[in-house]
Amino acid sequence: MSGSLLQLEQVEVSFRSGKSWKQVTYDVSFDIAPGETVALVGESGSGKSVTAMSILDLLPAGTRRSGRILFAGEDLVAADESRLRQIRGSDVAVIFQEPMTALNPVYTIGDHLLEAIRSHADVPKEVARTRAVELLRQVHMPDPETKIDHYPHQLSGGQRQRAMIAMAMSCEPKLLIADEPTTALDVTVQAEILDLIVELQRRTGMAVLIITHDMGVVADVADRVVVMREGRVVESQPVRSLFNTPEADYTRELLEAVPRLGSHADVAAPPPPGEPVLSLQDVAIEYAGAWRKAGFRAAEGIDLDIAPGEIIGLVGESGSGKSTIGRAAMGLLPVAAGRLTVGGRDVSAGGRTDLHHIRRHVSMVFQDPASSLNPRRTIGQSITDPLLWTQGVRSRAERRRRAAELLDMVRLPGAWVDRYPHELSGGQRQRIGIARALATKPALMVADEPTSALDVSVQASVLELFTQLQQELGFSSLFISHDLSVVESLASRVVVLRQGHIVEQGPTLEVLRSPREDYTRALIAAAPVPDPDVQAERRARRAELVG
Amino acid sequence: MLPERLRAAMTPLRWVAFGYVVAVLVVVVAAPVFAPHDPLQQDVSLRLLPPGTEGYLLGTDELGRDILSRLMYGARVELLIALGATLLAMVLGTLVGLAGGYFGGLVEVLTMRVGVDVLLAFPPIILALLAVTLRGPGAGTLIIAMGVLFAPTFARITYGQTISVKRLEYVEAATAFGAPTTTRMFQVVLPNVSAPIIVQFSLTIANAVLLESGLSYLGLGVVPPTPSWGSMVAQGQRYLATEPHALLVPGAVIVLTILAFGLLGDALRQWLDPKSRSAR
Repeated sequence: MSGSLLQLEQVEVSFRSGKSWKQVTYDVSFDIAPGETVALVGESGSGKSVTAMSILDLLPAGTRRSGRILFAGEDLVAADESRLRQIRGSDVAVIFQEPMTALNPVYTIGDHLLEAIRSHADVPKEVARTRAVELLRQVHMPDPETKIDHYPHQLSGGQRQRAMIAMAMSCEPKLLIADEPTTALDVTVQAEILDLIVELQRRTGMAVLIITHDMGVVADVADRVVVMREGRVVESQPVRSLFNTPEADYTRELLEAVPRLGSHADVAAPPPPGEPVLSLQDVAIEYAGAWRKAGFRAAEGIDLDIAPGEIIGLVGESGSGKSTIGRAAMGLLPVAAGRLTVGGRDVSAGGRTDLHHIRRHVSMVFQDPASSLNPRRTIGQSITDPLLWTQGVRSRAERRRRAAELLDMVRLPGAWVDRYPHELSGGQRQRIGIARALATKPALMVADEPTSALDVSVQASVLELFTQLQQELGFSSLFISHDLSVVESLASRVVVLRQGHIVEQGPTLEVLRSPREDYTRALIAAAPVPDPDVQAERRARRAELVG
Repeated sequence: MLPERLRAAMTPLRWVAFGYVVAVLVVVVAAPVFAPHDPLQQDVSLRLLPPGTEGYLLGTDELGRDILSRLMYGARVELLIALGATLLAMVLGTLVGLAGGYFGGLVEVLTMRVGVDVLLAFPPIILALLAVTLRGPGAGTLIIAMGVLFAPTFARITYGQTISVKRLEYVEAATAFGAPTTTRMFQVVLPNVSAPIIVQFSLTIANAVLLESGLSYLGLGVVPPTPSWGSMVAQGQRYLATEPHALLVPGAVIVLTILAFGLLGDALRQWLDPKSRSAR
């Protein structure tokens, strides 16, 4: 192991809780060779971020590290704060998940870069600025001379992440720690950022430690993979053998839980046509502007029909208008033009009785179960409130009985009616969200990214539950997602959106296997596949196209 | 066993404050039992006795009335007014802030801008003077005047919390599942904005005690001879040079009471604020 750049030996991290210490990672050991990319993989709570942040002691106050962290032969556990400060940003650089919160909003990109450059090299401002522009060019920031004077909020998410990477590269680090660097980004942007990291690595020979929960990203960039679970390293293998012959049961489960695009031969067949449950004809949706200002048209010219018992997948990147359409179907946003029909009734006007009609027939599952449940109400109350509100079920005993029934339907113990949302896990909370959406026995369920806040293994079980319930109860669904493979596993038809317009729609197989539009093709090509060979091939193809 | 957060919030000093407030409340309820004398009983032969005199633990005032008994009865008036005014302020302010924050637009302009901001532009004492001039002095006037005076603070807090809470997904979820507007406001938003309101409640009581004392000191509070802490200070002031206890004793009680409520407010804030968990 003498050739390794970074070596962790039995690293354990504990957080202080009150007077005692709570240990969060146990006996974590792995190493990174110069120029190598190691992926640290795990679900939430696995200790992957804590481990990565412990390397430079970027953990919150009240944290204790033990074991040995050798960086180029020097023990970073024993190093004092001033030495760590020297290493941070010079030998080891870090980029974070959400560049908007990692960049200080009152300083320009140039200020950030100059600060980073001049903190490690004593150079005049002008020289540093030239260097900053050069760095931005290296990270392929479009128009770097102008962008250097922009504030973080003026850049797109991908550009912000490029700026963060430029800062990290400013002192030519030997190791780059990337904590979920693409999680907050759209797939097409994610692919570009990953390409950039790989390119910089080839040019500078730095090592990369990438923390991610996404097996597709792992397959794309990693040389070796360290899988963590509940604070322990479960296994550590080169990437190909990990995907082909995983040793630990947990890794196998994790890989199986990842939905794979193109692996579903038996896509749900479209149900027999009937009178559509939901129908949009040339619908436009606007967000009201400030006083005397024009509103923002988030969707336009939307034509869409959902037959009884059908699941339609609505896919698109952020800003495509997919959630907007879902919210309009729920009556949460008014229709600016066109016709919105629910269960044969034109509700475009959005009057009181129209809304009442919508709420009796349509329900919704929200993206983040942690924020879509009222923290001050028990889950029993939360899931049966819709009954009180739309059907006037006043009897408490009756609602309690229904709550237990609904919990049973989503495979949770009926005795949990009196628990509060914070007592449940993310997956359990989303089951509650589904139970609430079932309470009124809706004809249509709008599901807005119901699994994107969940870990993959949890996502798999929630999707399975959703499919079972749909088959049992026969409701239609407008399933909104950015994840093509999730949509493929559920929907019989797919609608692809871009910037408020429908790009393409049709049967799932047709759209996802033989897309007609370039944009759909780009979307499919950008989605990382959890298979290192496929990813390597794709990367080679992309490189050919570029160079 | 207290919950951990509450235990962390209760420092020894705050426990003392808690004990003091409980003692004051007990005295308020049972003043006739504890008070050694009739607070209105005058005996000029016993005027201005120093504290520690047999039978008059805290001494007597310039009319020979027992200061301890007057303090006890004064606490009744004091807390009745402070609590009444604070409750009124809380109800008024919360309703106004909730409506302004929830509906926005014209309602916001009418409630927060026209109502609250205009009210805040006047000095409190001037407004209280106005109320007393219009209605005449007395406990009822004070409760209403101070209630209106303190309402803007509650309104601002509620307003700020409401606009951040109403954007949360569970409020949208309630809308999506057909909850009527009143339900959304009072059952969904209100419980989630209540913590800072409760904290403000205890801090406002402290302010109310102070303002009530101030107004009574100026002769705008309760009508003599009903004992009140502020008017006791005012009367004692004349004998400051020779018999300072007539001023110092009620003054000390006012300070202690305000301090105690303030400390309890801090404790409440720390206990109810979920972010305080990481702070130590």
